[in-house]
Amino acid sequence: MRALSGVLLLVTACASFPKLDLASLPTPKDFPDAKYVVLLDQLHVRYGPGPKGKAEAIVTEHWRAKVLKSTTLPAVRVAYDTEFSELVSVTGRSVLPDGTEKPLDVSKAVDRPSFDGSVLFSNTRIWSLDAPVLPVGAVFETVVVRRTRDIEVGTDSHFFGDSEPVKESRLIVDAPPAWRVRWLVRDFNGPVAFAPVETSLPDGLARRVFERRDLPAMTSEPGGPSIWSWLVRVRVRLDEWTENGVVKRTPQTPEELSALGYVQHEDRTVVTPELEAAAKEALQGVADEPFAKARALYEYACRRIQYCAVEIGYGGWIPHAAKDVHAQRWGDCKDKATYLHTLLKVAGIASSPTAISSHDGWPRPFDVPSLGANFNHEILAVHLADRTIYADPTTRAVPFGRLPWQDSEAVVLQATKEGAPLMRTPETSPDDNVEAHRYELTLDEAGNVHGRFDITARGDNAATYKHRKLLGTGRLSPWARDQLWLQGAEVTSATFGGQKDFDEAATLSGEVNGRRVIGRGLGGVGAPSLLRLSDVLASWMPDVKPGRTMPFAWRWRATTTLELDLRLPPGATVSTLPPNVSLSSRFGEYALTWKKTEQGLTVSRRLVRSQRVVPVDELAEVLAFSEKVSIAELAPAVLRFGGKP
Amino acid sequence: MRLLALLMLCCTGCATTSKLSTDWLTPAQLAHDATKYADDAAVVLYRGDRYLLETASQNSTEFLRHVAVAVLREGGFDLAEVRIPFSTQQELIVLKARVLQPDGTVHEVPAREFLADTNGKGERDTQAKFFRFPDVRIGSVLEYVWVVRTPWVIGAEDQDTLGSFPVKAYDFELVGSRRLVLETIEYNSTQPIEVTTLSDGRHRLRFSLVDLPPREPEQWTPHWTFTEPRWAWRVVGYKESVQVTNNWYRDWTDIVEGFARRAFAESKLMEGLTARPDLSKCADARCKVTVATDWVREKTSTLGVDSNRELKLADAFQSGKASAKERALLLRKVLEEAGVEARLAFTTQLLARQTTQSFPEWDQFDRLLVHVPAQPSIPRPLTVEMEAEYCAAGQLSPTVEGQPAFVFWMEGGTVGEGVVHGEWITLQGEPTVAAQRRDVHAARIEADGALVDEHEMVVEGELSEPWQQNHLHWRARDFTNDMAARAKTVSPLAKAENARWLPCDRLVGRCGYALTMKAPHYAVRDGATWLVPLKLLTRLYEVFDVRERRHEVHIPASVGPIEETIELAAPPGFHATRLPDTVTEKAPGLSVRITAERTKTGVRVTRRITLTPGRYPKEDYAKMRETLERFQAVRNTVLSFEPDAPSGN
Repeated sequence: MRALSGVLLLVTACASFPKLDLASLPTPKDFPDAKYVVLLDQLHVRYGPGPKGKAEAIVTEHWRAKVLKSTTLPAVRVAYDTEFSELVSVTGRSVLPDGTEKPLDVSKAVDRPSFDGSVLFSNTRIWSLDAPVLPVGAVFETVVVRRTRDIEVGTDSHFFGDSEPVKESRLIVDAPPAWRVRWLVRDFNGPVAFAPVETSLPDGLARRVFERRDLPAMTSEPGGPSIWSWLVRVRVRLDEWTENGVVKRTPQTPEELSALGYVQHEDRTVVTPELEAAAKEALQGVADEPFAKARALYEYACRRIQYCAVEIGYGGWIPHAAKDVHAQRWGDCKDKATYLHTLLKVAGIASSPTAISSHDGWPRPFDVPSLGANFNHEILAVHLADRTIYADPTTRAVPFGRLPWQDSEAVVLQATKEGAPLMRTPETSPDDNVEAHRYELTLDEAGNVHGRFDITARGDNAATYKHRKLLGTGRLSPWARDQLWLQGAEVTSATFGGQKDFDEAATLSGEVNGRRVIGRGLGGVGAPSLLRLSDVLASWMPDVKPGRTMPFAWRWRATTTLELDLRLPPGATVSTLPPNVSLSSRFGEYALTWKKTEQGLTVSRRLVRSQRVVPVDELAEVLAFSEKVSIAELAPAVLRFGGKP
Repeated sequence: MRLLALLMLCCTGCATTSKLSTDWLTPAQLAHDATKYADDAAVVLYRGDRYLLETASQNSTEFLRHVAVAVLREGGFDLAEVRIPFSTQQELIVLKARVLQPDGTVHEVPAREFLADTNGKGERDTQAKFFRFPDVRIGSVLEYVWVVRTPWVIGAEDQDTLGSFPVKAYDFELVGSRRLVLETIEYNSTQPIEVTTLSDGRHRLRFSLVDLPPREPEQWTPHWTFTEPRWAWRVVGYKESVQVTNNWYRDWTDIVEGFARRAFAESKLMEGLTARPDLSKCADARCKVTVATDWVREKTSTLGVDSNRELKLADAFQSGKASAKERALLLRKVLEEAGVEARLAFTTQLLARQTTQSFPEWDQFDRLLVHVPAQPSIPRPLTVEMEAEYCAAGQLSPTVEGQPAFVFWMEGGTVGEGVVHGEWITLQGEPTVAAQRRDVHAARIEADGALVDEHEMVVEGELSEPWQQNHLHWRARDFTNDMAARAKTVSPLAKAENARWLPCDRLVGRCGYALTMKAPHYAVRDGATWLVPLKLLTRLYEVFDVRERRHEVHIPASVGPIEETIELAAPPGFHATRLPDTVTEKAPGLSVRITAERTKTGVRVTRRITLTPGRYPKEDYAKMRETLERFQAVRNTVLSFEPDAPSGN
């Protein structure tokens, strides 16, 4: 590991800051719902030759905000990678409402390794300092300067907007005129026409300025994209430049990036006797045909190699050698993909390490063809004679031939010698992901229930159950309670079925108590009591409120069904059942069916989520659909108790 | 952890070995029966915490952590990743690790696989070592030992012993130079502490625990310090010579001494803070205390500020936000300047953690107050609570009322010369606005079965504090979203309309909101009868929904009586056929009362619950749950309204 080569220079003076005309700044009246207003959000990227002629970027972030409501401003937090960058300086000031200025006191800053939960070790460090406490009306301003020593890997991005209103937002890019700069402007909906103002500086550098003003505050909404994918963003990087007279260039197309990925993986996949022995072990008793062999090797890799990420320098993109991964028995996503790739090579099955952006329901579009710009995960494209199967060996229990929902519908780039184009992983259907619950419950006089539950799940719905079973089955009851769709349930026992790691389906059964499931009528014999599903069952409808401005996405398409078989206490009868309901829309289908039985009643509920993403202009239809479902679930069954109330 | 420097000699040129034993554990120590841990993904076979305090040629503290873990299921694989953070002033002098496989093979992790990030350069920066055990399987035993050396003598420390996994054996050992007088305490354990004088005159204190269960969270559980085995130690004194022993952390005044010197004698405390209360109209000390306290309360708010934050007082004051600690320091100083004798007092909030006056320890304190001793115009001592916004001078919130507090003050001299005194008292305050919440609903059923509810909620006293914070910090949309979510607890179709704040005054301790809610399809027509659920009542205290209780019940100080009243107008031409029975019931820690009566327009239902903060044994849980069930059940009651009888003509 390379230590910081530059001198960390932390200056506390604020002499370079301009005098502010406090009277001209916005007031709480201008932004009644804002905690603060960002007066200036500026990123300045200045490309040029570094001390030894190697290209570098001096990146200056300038942020100024005025406090409008009693609040704590965000901490100053700078992540830097000791391999590729250094923190040059942090300066700042506070300006109190009476005009008093105070320099930022950096003596209490903390510089620490990044203890990221998903990465055991990397070169990333975090420099952080709490913002000073400031009264309403005060202004806080910081300037952070970083030096990017290796510009081949990364890009710089500027977002036009924030969770609070922004008065002035700007990206400035300076570069020698002969150096080719690429930028891409997009927001959630796609590319945005946003041309910079181009000028020449006295020192000969070409300057491009992207600027916007008076940007409203953005907030994320449940099931919506993050505000950072929603906002207009400019991503910038160098396409071509010279270092000491030598022309350098970054990948210009996805195909070039693919070919670079191939080179970065190539010497990591050398077959050794140990790997040959491992493949042989995994293929013992397996039919001699490619699909079966690929599946066996995939399961072997998933099961044998535990996830652990150690990413030093280019180790963020270049995997560890497969032989080392085998010996250590651990690796990160690209290590595991490379390991499986090598085992498949032993078995004579072609495959390509494949970069992907694992997502939360909102797959990321491809930006500029840069190593650090697009992907956060690696899987494997397994090339069989008749098709390519994407496999994610980082998962632990997803059957071969399927991807977890985080990888579905995502842009991928296979690493191939010739260079591959962008492709997309397949989507799943509501038939692939199914979860069925059956509750057999007995109601008592007090309105409480007890009985059994049985859950069967497959596809993405099964992942939670299979994962929990693998981690350990202790203290299962409290966990099982959270899986039930029965409100206020208390699980008293729970056991998994006998499924194996990579089975398609999972089952969980047990005993459950439920409290206060009916609205108990007052009075003597025959007094009416109400059973309303909305009181008893968790809602399956999306959290979409009127006035929503963002689209909504389910994480995956699915079919969920629930059957509740309720036995009534002796003497109790079902007086009235609500009407059955069947709703159909472009988003999916909903059905609710009530039936009297000899001992009580059965109610079945079914929802098919067939459209994963609901665009903004269809939200009203979803709301109307949800309302109809709510009305259906509010309609009660009327029960009459024969015994004492 | 406090790092009190004793003769801060830098430990330059330290040897990079430890005097603490870092031998591997024996096979007997690693033996275990996996079937005993059927519910666990891993078992900690051994954890050792050892301290070595040295004062010979140079002062230092070595801390050793020795861990052996058996991986029983895949959920234990995460334990194979090890991160060891330490400060830039500390040195990691030993790190070794090995894996013992189920087949008996042993693999020691080579030093080259230990990764280091030592880029931190500043005093406050952090370094770390990282490694991942190789070839971990179900059945592997992972063992590692590390020792961190600190170039001074640490004066006190405490530590828990439990984690997410069961612990088969736990050892604690403290060895100190013979110049040091040590004392240690074990909480919640009956294992004896073994005290030995070693042949070289050093003192050794040690104890061992076996078969510790994992920590299992549960709502309203006492703070873990009340129930879990744990230890603390401190250096009581150090000997300069055979005859002379200097106190270090001998008694409580030693514990607060450093803080007291800064608080009472530091000339920079008020630097930059020129504002002062106008005490010109006060003729006596009592008036000054009242006016100065109100001045601090008006000028600063504690809402959303960590109680023990300690910023420069001028900065805190200017921001309008101050912690209880900052407020206390400021008020005491202001009173002192005004000629009022004022002291400081540390206390621990009710049930915040287990404490004992017999073992002086800084970590027991979590709240600073101002204590004004008796003096002319103040016949009895008076304590000023600085956290609760609604408490005037002399009033105490229920979180500290009745708690022991250590009052301390300094006499004479500058920072280095004055003498710190202290004494324990029991906090007793004047009556303050009582904590309570009242919900009043004026509801009616429309002809189509929709419910329309005019709801006012008012909270007072301690219960108002979180709402004051919401009132101060929420944006309009936060409030709107919260009100919408509250409406949804009544019905999925319910919509909040006209939500607004009622007057919120943090100094008075009162806040609330008003809300109109409409819930279509709320009432149900059953023949000629309207059926109306009582879902307007709040779903409360679901902590009691679980039948089995593992721990005793701890009712926190922040609860208060809640009274809900629903005035439900009958649908026009209808009357209620029967009302819920009156319920008056008590259980340890709580009492409930439910009443219902007819009114001119319909029905009034009132539900009240009072909880008494405190600790209640597990045996009381069933009765508490049963009583609460009666309270909850009324929310699941359905009222019937039948048509009025035709009039006589």
